Amino acid sequence: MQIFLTLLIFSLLMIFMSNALILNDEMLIILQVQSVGSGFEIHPEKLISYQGTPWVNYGGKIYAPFSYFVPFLAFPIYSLLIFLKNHIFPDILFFLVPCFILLYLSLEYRKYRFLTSLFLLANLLTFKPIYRFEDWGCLYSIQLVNIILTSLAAVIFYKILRQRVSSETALISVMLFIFATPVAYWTLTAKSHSLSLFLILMSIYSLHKHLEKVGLNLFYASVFAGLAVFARPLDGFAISASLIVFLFISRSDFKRNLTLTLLGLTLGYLPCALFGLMLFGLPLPVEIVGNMFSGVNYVKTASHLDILLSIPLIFFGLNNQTLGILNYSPVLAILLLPLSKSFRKTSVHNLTDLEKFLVVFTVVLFVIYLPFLKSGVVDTGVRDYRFYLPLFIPLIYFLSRKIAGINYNRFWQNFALVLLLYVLTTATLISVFVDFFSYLTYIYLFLSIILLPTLTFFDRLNENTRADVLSLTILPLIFLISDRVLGYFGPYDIHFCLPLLNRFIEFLILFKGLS
Amino acid sequence: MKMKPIFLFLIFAIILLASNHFYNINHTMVEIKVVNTSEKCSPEIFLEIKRLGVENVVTSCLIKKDPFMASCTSKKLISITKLDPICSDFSGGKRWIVTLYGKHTPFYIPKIELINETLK
Repeated sequence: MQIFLTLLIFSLLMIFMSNALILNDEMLIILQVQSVGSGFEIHPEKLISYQGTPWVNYGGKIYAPFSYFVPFLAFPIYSLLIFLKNHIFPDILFFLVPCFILLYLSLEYRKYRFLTSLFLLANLLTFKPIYRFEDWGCLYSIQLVNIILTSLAAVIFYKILRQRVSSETALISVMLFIFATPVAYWTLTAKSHSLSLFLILMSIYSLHKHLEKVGLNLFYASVFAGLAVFARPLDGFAISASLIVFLFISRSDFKRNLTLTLLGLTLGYLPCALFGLMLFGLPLPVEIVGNMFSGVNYVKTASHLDILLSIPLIFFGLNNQTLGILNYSPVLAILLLPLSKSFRKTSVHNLTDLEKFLVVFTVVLFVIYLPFLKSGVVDTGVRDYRFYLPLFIPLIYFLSRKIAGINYNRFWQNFALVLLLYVLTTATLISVFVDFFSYLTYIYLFLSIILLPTLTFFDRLNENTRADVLSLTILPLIFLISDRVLGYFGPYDIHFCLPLLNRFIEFLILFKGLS
Repeated sequence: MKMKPIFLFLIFAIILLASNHFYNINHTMVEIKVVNTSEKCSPEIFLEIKRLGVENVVTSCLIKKDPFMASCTSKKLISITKLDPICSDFSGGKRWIVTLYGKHTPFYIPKIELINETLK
């Protein structure tokens, strides 16, 4: 089941892979990958139309103010892709691999085997190699790293959930974690969210093992938490702080556990400290140096009033272009009634140790990021509170028990249909009526508001209706597709890696141009 | 049953190794027709992209005959672009140059430059 899940998520994410540049930051991250082999110094002048995001100028050298952890991991893949370019068109792998995985998964079923074979053949016939692959190699290698990390994170999450719910429910919960939240969207960018989620989940999984059986698992949990600081500093601080707070709450074998935790955190943080020392003479993450000491200040703290006023919008509503967490991922509405009941009954004491930890982590993460949401998220015009991506781990964990008992077969059939419906409708509407894009956030808000009441009273629906409604919650796929289709209208040579999807969009744009 | 994954892997490897013979990177073919010419005006030109290729979308173009210069934009995947004549007082140079710019990569802007020999 775990291999099936990894392969399924890996191939689904690869199907939606493209070379679209969603954020300006991604340009610098591309340079970061190239810089790994040559001393980490970047050369922004190489980019033809880079503007906006600043960089760190230290000792006459320029560095990107983002983590170098993902570029480190992406560099070997980038080198391999460039090597392969001498022998084959490497972009052929980006659709051949998922097509063959789907074919492999469908070997047992004659009907699906025929469909996946046809899918492979159609893609082979419509493939067109991309021009100057070497220019896009870095972006592809980062996305591949992110896809692998998200697939592994999904398996870790499945293992955690499996202790709580049945394997069918855990599988559906993990699919919702990827596709009913902004996780898939950020996986297919050059940002470090996937790595951070993977390390946080590894930390939580190790803690879960520690709670089952005392050994060195707490130490491992702390090492992963310390490493997370290298990926995304505040995510790392949040999980590290949560571990320490949790030790104070649980109080079992306190001295030993605290020593193990501090040792683990120090060891995990060591690579990040050494890297900061090597580049800037400071044992701090690159983001912190860039933000605090280079005089750039690209993420500023908001005023107390702004923070207070923004709190309701974080959950519900629209702030600039950023949708509230509930609006973006309406599936979370399933938690509303159980949450209000648990507040009334003060059932905190009924929580297991892991659940207590997840509550602590939720609160710590929420508070840590609050001052940076305005300049780091809302002002940048992104559609979701991407800093809060790790919040979906505890939220989906608590949600998993609420979706148990739905009609599983019906859910998977609907999931496939809804996925196709969302992808094709969004691609068609954006390709043919590009102005539609400017209203998309409002239309999405409208759709999620329709779904919210039904999901709030999810418990009262029968098992078939629950399966139907739940499959509709993969609404975030709309943004994943729309933002990448919009790239076709920009100055960059953007293509989906799946030839069939790419040709479909090109055909629609051509059709629109001729009509 | 165990043979099936091996068989799949073999097909995968064959497709991968043979792919260089199936696919190639085409360059865009552009045909240019001058509809109207006048000494004091830029020519009225039709640009027809006959074949899609690596510079598969003409994002902009530049038409130049010193000291005259005009630009145009197009967002179509296959475009039949008409450049309207623009008249001004200029003495006229020796050569017309039409430059078409394709979709960018992060580091490069593909360019097709056509000089007056093509503009017949």
